[in-house]
This record gives sequence, C-alpha cells and structure tokens, in this order.
Amino acid sequence: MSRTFTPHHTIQLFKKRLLLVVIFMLICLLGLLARLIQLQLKDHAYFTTLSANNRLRIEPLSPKRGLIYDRHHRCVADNIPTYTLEFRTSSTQTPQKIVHTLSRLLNIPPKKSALWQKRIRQAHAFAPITLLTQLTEKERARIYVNLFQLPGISIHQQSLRHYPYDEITATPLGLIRHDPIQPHIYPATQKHQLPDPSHGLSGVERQYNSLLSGKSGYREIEINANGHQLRTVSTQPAAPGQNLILTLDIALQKAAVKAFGKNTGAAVVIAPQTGEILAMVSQPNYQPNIFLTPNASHQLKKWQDDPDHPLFNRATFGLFPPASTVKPLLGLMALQTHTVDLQTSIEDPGYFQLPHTQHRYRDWLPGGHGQVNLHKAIAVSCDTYFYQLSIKLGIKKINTILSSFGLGQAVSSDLAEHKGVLNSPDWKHTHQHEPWYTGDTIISAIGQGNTLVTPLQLAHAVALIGQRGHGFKPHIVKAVIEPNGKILPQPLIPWKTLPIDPIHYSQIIQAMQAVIQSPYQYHTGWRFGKISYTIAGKTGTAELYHRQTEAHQFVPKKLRDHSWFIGFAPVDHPRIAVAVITEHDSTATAVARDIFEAYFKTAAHPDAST
Amino acid sequence: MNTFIQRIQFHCMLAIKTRRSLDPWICLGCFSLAIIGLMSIYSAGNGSQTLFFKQFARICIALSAMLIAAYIPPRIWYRYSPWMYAVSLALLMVVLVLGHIGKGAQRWIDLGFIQFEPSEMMKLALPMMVCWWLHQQRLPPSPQHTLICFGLIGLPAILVLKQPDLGTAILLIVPSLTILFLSGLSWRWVIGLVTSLLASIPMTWHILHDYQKQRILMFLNPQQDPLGHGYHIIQSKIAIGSGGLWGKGWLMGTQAHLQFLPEHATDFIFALWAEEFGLIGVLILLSFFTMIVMRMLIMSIHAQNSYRRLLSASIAMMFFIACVVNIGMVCGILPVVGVPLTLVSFGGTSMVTMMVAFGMIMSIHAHRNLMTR
Repeated sequence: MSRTFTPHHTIQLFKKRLLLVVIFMLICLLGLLARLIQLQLKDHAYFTTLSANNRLRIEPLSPKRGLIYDRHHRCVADNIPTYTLEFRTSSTQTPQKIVHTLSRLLNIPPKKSALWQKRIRQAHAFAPITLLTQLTEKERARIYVNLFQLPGISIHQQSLRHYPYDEITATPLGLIRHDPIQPHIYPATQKHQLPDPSHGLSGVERQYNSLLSGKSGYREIEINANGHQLRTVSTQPAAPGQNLILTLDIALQKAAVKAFGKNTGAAVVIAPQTGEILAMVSQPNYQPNIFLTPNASHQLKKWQDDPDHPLFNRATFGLFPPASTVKPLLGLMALQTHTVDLQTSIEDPGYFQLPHTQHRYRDWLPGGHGQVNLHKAIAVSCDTYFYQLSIKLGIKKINTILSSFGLGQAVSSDLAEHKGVLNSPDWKHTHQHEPWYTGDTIISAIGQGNTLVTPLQLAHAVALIGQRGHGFKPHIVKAVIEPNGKILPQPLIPWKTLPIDPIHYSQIIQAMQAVIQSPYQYHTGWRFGKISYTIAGKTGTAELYHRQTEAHQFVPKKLRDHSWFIGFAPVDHPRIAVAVITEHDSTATAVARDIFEAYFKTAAHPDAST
Repeated sequence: MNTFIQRIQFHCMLAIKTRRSLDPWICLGCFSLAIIGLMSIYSAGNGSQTLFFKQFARICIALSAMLIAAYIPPRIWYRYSPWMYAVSLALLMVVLVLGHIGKGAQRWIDLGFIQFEPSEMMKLALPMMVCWWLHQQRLPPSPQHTLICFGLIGLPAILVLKQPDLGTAILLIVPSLTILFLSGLSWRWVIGLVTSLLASIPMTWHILHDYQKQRILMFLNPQQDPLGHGYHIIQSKIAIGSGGLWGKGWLMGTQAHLQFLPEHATDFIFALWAEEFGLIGVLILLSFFTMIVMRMLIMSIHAQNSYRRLLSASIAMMFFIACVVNIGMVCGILPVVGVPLTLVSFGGTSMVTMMVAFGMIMSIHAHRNLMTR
C-alpha cells in the first residue's frame, strides 16, 4: 500500500535535484551537439573526401599513341594490341584450382605453373596479378571459351608500340619506355594527376612525346568494402595522341642503312633547300620491336652492356674531330677576308715548320704535293697549305667561320643533339687549364685537336655550303596532324651564315667538285668513280693516335682512324647533302657514294619528291 | 454475481476514464522515432524488404506492450516491485550458472519457443525496487538505507557485468543512482561516490575483459588499428561527417550501402541517419528525444508520491542515457558499448523493455488525479 501523504519538503528537494539533473542532461546534449557540428560542419569536407576515397577508384584509360609517317605517308610507327591475362584472387575461394585449370588449358609447363601458385599465395587480395602477357589468338580463344569455369580471370587489352621498319627507323624514332603491364587503380583524389600514359626515351618519340602521347582518360568506379567494382560513376575518354609526318624518306633510309653494312658510324642526309632530314643512320643499331616479345628486358640489358653502344645515337650525339672537312670552310673565310686568293700558292715539301722550331707538322702525303693553291689544296686535302693558312687566319677567324656554319652549337630545331666543341683559347683555359699554343691553331686548320663535331652538324654545314649560305635549320618533323585531321606543317627556321661573296662560294665549290672528279692525282674522293650527277664534297680522316709509318692493315681495328665524307649534289641547286663517318675504317666515301646513287636512282622515279 | 458485475463495471469505467492514459507528446515522439527508424532500416536494408517488415512488426509489438503497460495502474507496479526484482535477480543468477556450464558469454535463457533476457527485465525491476525501497523510508534516506540501496543496485549490476554486458550495466546503474540523487542523497555521499568511482578506475581497468579494454583503447585512438578494432569508429565518423548539413539524401548513404559501415542497422543506425539527412536530420531526431525526455521530467514533477516521482524520473534518465551513450559512441566521443538507439535501431527486446517503461510512466501520469487505494 502506498502512502498518500508526501512531505512538502521532499517534493521541493526533488524539484531542486531534478533541476540539477536537467542541467546535467543539457550539458550532455550540448556536448553531443558540439561534436556533431564539429563532424558535420567543420570537418565536413575532410570526411567527404574520406568517404569518396572509401568508395571511388580511378581506373586510367590509356590514350592511343600518335602514329608516325615518313614524308610519303608510309607508316613507320603504330600501335598494336596486346592481351594480358589477369587474375583477381579475391573473386574466388579456390584460386589454386583456377590456376591449375588454366595451366591445363594453356599447356603451361609445370615450373611456370608452380611459380603462378606461389604468386597467388603472396598476392594482395584486391589487386589483380598478371599471369601471362602477349597472349596468342589461340590462347585467347581457349580462355574465352572456358571463362565460365575461371572466375576472377580476365583478359586485358593494351597497346604496344610497333615499328613496321624495325631497326631501319630505330635511330631517328628512338625508344619509348615500356612499363610492365600492370592494371593500376588509383584513389579518387588522383583524378587529375594520372601518370604519363607512355613516355619516349629518345629520338622523335621523346622530342614530340607531349604531342604523341595524348592525354589519359579515366573511369571512375564505385567499389564496396570488399573491393568489388559495382558501377562506373563517370568516364572521361582518353584524348588520342597526334600523328606526325616526318621529313624522313623510308627508301633512302633503307638504302643508307644498307650502305653501311657491317661498318659502325653514322650518316645524316639533309635536303638543303628546306633543311629536312631525309635519312639518319647510326650503326650498330637495335631492334625496337623487341619489346613486343617476352625477351625484351634481357635483350635490352645486352644492348646496354654492348661495348659498341647500339642504343647510342651517333648521328646526333657522336663526337668526332671534323678533320679535313673543315678545309672548305677555312677556304671560304680566307677568300672572304682576302687573306689569300685563288692564285696564292705555296710549295709543299710534305711538312710545315714554325720558324725557330724543330717540330714538323706533316702532310698526309709523304713528300708533299708540290705546288699547291687553294683549289688544289682542297681537292687533294693538302695539310701543309692549311697549316700555313691557319697562321695567317688566326684561331679567332677560324672559329668565326666554323660557328657560323653551325659547328660548336646545336643546329637542329627539333632534335636533341650535342653541341660539340670548338677549340679556342677560352675553352682550353676553362676546361684544360692550359694556355693556347700556336700549335693548337695549326692543327685546328685540319680539324684535329679538341674540336669535336657531330655528323648532324657537318651535314648541316655542307648543306649550307650548297645553299651558298642561305639555309634552314635541320629538322625531322615535316607536319603534325591535328585531331580534326588538319595537317599543320612545321615552320622552316632559316639559318644565315655570315655574309660571303657568291663568287667565293662558287670557287670553293669548284674545288670541292675537284675532290671527286679532278685532274689531280691524289684527289681524295677518287673512290666515287663514274657518276651521272654533279657532286661537291670533302673527305676527312680523324686521327685516333699519332700516325706512324705503319701500314694500315697492321694497326688493330680499335685504333684505326675514322673517315669522313661530306658532300652535296647536284652542284647547282643541290637536292641532298650528306655527312658520313665510319669508325675505325676508311670506307666513308664508299658508303656516301651508295647513298647518293640510291637517291638519284629513285630521284629519277616519277613520284619521288624533294 | 452482483459484485462480480460491479467489479467489471468498475474496471471498464476505469479503463474508459484512463483513455487519456496515452500521453500525446510521448506518443508523438515515439511514432516519430519509429518512423525515423523505419526509414533508416529501409535504407539499411539496401532494398531488401525483410528487414523493414521485421522492424515494423517489432515496433507494433513494442507499441502494444506500451499500450498494455499504460493501462496497468501504478499501484500494481508498486505492489509487485519487490517480486519482480527478486525474480529478475534469480534469473540473472541462473543465467550466470548456465553461462558457467556453457563456458561462454550468456545473456539469455532459452525456453525453446522463446528466448528470454533477464537483464532486460532487471532494467525495469531495479528502478522499481529502489523506488519502492526509498518510498518506505523517510527521504532523504539515512546512511544505512543508502547502503542497502547500493546493495540493491550493486548485486544485479555485478551479475550483469559478469555476463559481460557493459551497456545494460550502464542502463542499470545510472538511472538507479539518479534515483538516489533525486531522493535527496546528501552531497557528502554524492561526492564520496564520485571520488571512489574515479579512484577505482585503475582497478576496474584490470578486471575489464580484453575486448572491453580494446574498445576503450580504440575509442581513445581509433587510428591505431584502422582495419580492425578502430574500423567501426572511423567509418562511423566518416559517415556522419560526410553527411554535412543536409545529408546525402534518403537511400543515398554510401558508407552504409557499400558496406563500409558495419552494424548499420543496429547500433550504428544513427550514423546512417546522419549520413543521409545531415545535421538537419540529426537536429530533428534530437528534438524528438528532447521532447520525450522533457515531457517525462515534467510528468515526474506532477507525480503523486515518491515512488511515482522517482520512478518517472529514472525512466526519463534511462531513456536519456541510452540515447546519449549510443549517439556518443557513434560519434566517437564515448567508447563502443552495445547500446542500441531506442525505436530507431533494429531492435528486439530492448525496444519492448523501453516501451513498457514508457507505458509505466504514462500510467503514472494518467493516475495523478486519482486517489489510489
């Protein structure tokens, strides 16, 4: 039974205490509210990001890499699809069984099958692993037909770079980096920071990488806590790379590579009227299509370790002393500055001595060439004449003319190349901490010493001679094909040498013609023989060590001199200019001849164009 | 015969008179919470209807229980308080013994056709008992009586803690201590109690079970084990935080739907509601809670005697604590204990218990003008 009477003060006490309880409740409530406001308003952005990161993933979509064509629209670089086999171990309870079935279906050797088993044991649950790359059509068919019993298995398509002409175009085109084919899934925040789809490492592929590679797209997918992909939230298609038309002529390139044969060296062929590079060769070479085979990294390492450096582009980065090829340029300078004229001649005893010195600078021909003027000096490559000339000119004038024709600097407008070295008092002081001696000037006259050039520079220089001083920067890309199909030709960048009288040009060019076809007994381009076109050129021999009087064949190959040939043809309105260097061999002239012959054979062809 | 008919007549009149047993405020609050719960459950079910209908059925059962409880006059509650307490205590001991035999955590008594949770019964019986006891004495209670109260509270609390069930233990201890406080316990006692509780923390740390220790550690720094024990809290905070002001929209909660938020239908349902309806939705939910609690406290003021006053206040406190603990746990400001959100969480026995308690308090309120015999 309850009491019916309650003392008044008990109620008051209760009310007082209740008030305190209510205050306590309010404090708790406010605490909760504060926390909720902190979470939902203050840190809202932070949690939204986390929420998105939980459930959204970015799968990049690879863009198609731009195609590359030669000047006649023959494709020299394209993309072919390749298929890889992927396995997502989290999709099934029995990954070992799947792998076993797969091995049986595809006739996988037991060692590889065991390797697969090991990999799936170590695999992270949600990332797919690549089991096989470059599936053949038969393998793909087998897998597709049996897909129902292979949960978690999928075939992933990707593009690989393919070069229809393989090693013939390897030098100018270069290599691209091949990442291992792994599917990548990125967190949502990296939507705008996707990695490069493909990356050129050398040559055109590298110089024009930003145009060729296009832009990665992405697929935004929603996943649940198990990592299962539920749906595609949004898609951004990939923007394909732009296509390029090169100045290269595949027929000529092929001929140039063939002309080299087993020799090592480099050659560059330029069209002087536009500066377009028609062919570029560097031997020894490599086969870029190796990356389509499974053996790639092994072979790549072999090339990297090869002492002949097949991956190295000698045409743009190879440094050699220009040797006698600088003589025409010196001649031009001499004529222009009236240091000598055509009549000036000397008696060549076979050597040159500075007054009051003992040292003899020797000519290549023992006994000398007798009476020599500028014309003969160039034709027979008389060193003595130019030793004398060098004293009269001085190193400053020598370097002025050389650099005006591009030596000692980067000459092309769109290729990576070495600047080379122009030997000068400043250079010697900075790099070798040595003073300049007269002897340095003397040997500069015959292109020896510290001066180093690339074949590209010499090709450009001889093209400029052919153009009588008004040429263009060498370049390899003729036009870019925009996404809408419009062809955008690349601008030609003019190159003007310092002003030289046209008369001097024709005089020097006549001398250069005499190198190949002349009455002189020792004209150095005699190997050319009978030809159907007019040609002006110059040979050179880059010394590797101080020449003894030994016969050539007894010197070990590694120590033999390099040989140069530079030239252009026809003499009036030249259509090609060539620079060839063969290492440790004297066959540059023969190689150059083959190139010229190949050009003029096809030049007679109706659809050949400059 | 006559007396029999008279008796029926009397009871019918009583029933008609006590039509107004059902307090509109509390009923409104309950319905609103139930609807919020159903909306959240529907969303949590991810389209599957079974969860929704099950919850609907359980709400109906619980509301019926509330209805029935509301019509039972308070004097009945009063008369049977000690009995209920004794029975509950006995059953708790049975559970403990069964647990010992079964060598596991035991909370139920399985009667074959029904599973019965004695701790739920104790949630009602304990406040009733304490109120009953205090009602017998002169308030404020003397020290001996206070100690007896501690014994009354402590015994079931320990039994429940041994189950182990920390959540229910909190729901037993806090309302009962509130009763003591409201009955006018002297401040010396209150301060003494609080100090001894704080002082016993190092000792209690040791007797805590491993998983309970883990929970407290995770509460303090969930990033320690983000994929294991800290996962709940981290995901829950992400769900709540990413809701923002207006929420992601009904059925659009990604954390819950994509299975990032575990227990999203039961203990963590609040996070789902917060994710889908944002701060606005949360404020609406909290306002219903506040409405119910305030109404109950007002009712407790108008109650006729100590027993009814204290019991009403303790029910209000029990409800309040359940909400605060659940929401606090989901927000990451309290360690995880298994306390569901009344009427909103996918519930079972605890919903029924709470609804019976609501019925009790409504009955107390309805009988305020009637003189009990």
